[in-house]
Amino acid sequence: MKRLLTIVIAATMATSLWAQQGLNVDSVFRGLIVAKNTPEFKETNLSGEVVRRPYKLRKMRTISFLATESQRDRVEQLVEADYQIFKQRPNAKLTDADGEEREDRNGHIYYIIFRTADRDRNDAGVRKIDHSYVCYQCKPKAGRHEITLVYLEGPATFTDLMKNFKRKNNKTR
Amino acid sequence: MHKNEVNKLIDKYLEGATTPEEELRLAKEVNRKDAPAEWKAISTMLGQLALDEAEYDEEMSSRRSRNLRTHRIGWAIAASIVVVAGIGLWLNSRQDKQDYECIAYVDGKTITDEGRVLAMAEDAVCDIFSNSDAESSLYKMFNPEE
Amino acid sequence: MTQVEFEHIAIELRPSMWKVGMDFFGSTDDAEDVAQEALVQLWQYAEKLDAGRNIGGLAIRIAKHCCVDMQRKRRGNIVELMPAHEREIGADASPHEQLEQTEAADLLKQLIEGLNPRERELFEMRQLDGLSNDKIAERTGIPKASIQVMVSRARKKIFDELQRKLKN
Repeated sequence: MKRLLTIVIAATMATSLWAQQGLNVDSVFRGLIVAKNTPEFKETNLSGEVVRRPYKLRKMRTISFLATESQRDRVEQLVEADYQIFKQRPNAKLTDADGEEREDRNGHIYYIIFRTADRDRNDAGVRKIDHSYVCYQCKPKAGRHEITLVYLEGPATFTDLMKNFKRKNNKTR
Repeated sequence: MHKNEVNKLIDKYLEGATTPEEELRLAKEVNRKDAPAEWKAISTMLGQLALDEAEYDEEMSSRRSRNLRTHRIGWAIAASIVVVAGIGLWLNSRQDKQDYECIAYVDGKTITDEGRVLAMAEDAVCDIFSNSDAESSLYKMFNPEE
Repeated sequence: MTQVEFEHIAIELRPSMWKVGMDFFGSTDDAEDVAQEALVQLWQYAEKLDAGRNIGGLAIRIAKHCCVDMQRKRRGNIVELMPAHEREIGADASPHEQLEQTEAADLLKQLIEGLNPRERELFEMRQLDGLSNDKIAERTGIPKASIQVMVSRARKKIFDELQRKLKN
């Protein structure tokens, strides 16, 4: 699986269509690494007005689950792959959508928030761009790994996300 | 295609003389629901790839014909319709409603209460964003090697 | 073909496989799914083939197959967790038909393996890659007439054996 992942990464990086590539973490969202029917698997899918107004997002998708070490390693590989693919994109210019945070612990990603490829959208005949972001966290829990994976898409910039979710966090915690 | 024509094409296939296009046509014919049992071997030999390629090509071809017809009709309609700017706004708000989704799954149960779903999602996102600089600095202070 | 060799080829092939998906579905997400699934399936075939074999035609065929397969699943609302490359049978067949198809496909594989190397190579270039005799002649340097004879011999061998076993 790791070797096939290398194929997918290599092929994705070399193509000039990077801006419209799908994500490797999609297989985690689909339950292909940890099945959705395992205990303590939680998933939320939100899109439209419910996330547009408060967060300037069009889509918000979250999953959290408990993983074994090998499952954690696989998820981490996929997250890392998406992170590296975007970081190494050709002709990159910094915009207000850019930004990242990352912390590694004991040789593994503890948490990471990063931007991925923009998505094209047709809005009543007008072409618009939505930014997209992946957020990942892995914490030890009861001898396993509690993983939270989030996908955000919309006009919001990285600064917007920091403002909205750190501020919200201060309110609730 | 008539059964005799298919049998002739089968003979040609076995002689190694068919073109790839003829083989795609043959794949479609020998996989019909009413295909006789003696065509089964040919169907197997041609394989699913050939059958699906034939289906793909046929689908694309019929779409191209439909698009050509629609394009012609579209010009006729555009010439007689005046577009109102407000329609754009109306479509936009419709799009939001069409895109609306608010659902959660926990332990096999589906939750559609907007408040609860949003709270769950916010918790997940904020949990990640809550890894504040202060907390990280503290960790690094006690784990300087990383 | 080794994985390293395949990886080099995959980089070149992926965009055209993506385009097959994009032309069919008109959606970048679906095109991505097609490209990724098709690459996985292509590797399943390619690892049994010789290095240096041109698998461009096969890549496109597999991409088309993935498009049709995905569409079939959506129309039948089938939630499919088993990857498509693990099955080569029609999704709309009955369980009995599916079993028959699987057995026939397995039998075909065995019969192809029983061909001599040259016949096998030519049979596969026609069946998998979808190449014409002219194209095969260009690539291999074998005269077109000889190709036709060898392809015919391979097909007749397989056909006779398949007919016999399917009747039983």
